[in-house]
Amino acid sequence: MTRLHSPLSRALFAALLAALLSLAASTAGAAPQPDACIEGYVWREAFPDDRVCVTPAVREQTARDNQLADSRREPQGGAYGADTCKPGFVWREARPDDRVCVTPAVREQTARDNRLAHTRWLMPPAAANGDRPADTPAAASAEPAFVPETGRLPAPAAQTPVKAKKKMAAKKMAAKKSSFKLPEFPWPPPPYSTRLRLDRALLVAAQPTPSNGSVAARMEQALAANGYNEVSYYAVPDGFAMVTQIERIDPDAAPAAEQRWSTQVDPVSLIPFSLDAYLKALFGKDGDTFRVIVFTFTPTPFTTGAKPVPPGVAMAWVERGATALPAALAILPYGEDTVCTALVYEFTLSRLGGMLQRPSTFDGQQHLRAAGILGTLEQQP
Amino acid sequence: MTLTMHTARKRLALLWFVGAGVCFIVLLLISFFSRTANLTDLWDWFLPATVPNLSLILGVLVYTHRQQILPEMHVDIFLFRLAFGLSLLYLLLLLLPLLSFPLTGKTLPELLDISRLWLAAVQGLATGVMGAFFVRQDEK
Repeated sequence: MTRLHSPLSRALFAALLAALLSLAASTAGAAPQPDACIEGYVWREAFPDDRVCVTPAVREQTARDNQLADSRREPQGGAYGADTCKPGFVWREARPDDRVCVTPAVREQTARDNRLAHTRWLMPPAAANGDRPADTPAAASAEPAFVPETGRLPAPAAQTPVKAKKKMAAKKMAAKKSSFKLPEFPWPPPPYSTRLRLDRALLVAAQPTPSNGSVAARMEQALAANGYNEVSYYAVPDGFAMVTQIERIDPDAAPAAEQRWSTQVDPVSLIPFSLDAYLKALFGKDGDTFRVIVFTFTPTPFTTGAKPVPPGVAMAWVERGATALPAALAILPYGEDTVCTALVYEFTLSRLGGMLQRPSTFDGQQHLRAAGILGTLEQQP
Repeated sequence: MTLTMHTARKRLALLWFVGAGVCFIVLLLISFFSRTANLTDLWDWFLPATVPNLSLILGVLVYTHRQQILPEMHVDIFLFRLAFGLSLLYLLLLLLPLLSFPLTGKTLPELLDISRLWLAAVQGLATGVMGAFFVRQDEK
């Protein structure tokens, strides 16, 4: 049995320990950073630890807003104290205590970026376990400090053994999370009302090496800009699918101005009573039209299943899907042969029940343009 | 006031056929004109609620007619009123969700599901007392 009493043995043991710690630290450093942005995005840095990923243009805007912060405050203060903004400006609220005065449009953009933060990280903190992550910058700032200038963690050699251990633990956690599997979308997909194959250029834009994550983030941003804040992810053969929540639509396929997200039907009024309205309701002639859009991203061609999906099942798609794309899937490159197809499921719902509208009175392009999704994708940089 | 068994049976049969007939016509119109209704669910709800009692009534009436039996015995008027009242209540409760769903915030399938609760209770009572007129007397 070796004993460590001699100075030589002690020195050898210390050297061995240092080598092991160094190896562990370098291994941790080689793993993808949890908050590194997907391609095309950079940290916003509205404040030193702000790691919400935004486009470079937004980052520049944020820096400019920070510089102009003092000039946009009321010099004498106001109703909200020293942080009161001049007319036309509002607090940015990149985190709850962010009081930089910006235009309402910038504030809205900031809120949207916060909401979508989890979709733009290479390894979203909770993407792999199906939970929506803490997407507030305040929560993100609880992580170890990053070097803002580089957008990277400090070099592994500069990390203390404690930090290296933390990194190892984080890596193990990430590996555990990466085992999460997306729920499977019914395949082949149930018969749809209409469909549209989306142009690849709309999804990858100027990214030289797009990933599933960057494409999904771009799509999610386009959806969020048009009010689709609840989007779910499913697995499909060789790819993934994104599902929007059911929405009420107008006769021109545009989202309904009122009760867009409600599937409730208002009762016929008793006072004053209208026999015409009553009979229409009795025989289901006063139904409204609803829509669910499923975006499939797969290189595999597909047909449709035989059985139409009941409206109740389609309504539940968004609830049963995953809230984000798992990191393992997000980091995969978006293949050259991957095709995005929008499947539009249009339903007529009345007090008597619901039915799938087949075929739709509109084509896929009309649906997506009326929803604003195509327009947003075309305008996105 | 007295009532013969024959008359009591005819009145109850009339009530049941008229009540079930109104429901039947409403469902038929819905089946013709609605594009969104799940017809299978609709008829699955209606048929078990009426067909057993209607079959019993019709079977006894046809049997007594073919056997040339005219039961002239007098029936307890209280029993008849009870049977008539419960049958009327049951048929009204059957018709209620069909005609009132446009006035509520619920869809017809939702209301039909809920109606099974009270229909089950009243149907048991109505069928029990109907047995006094259409089963027990003939066994004697």
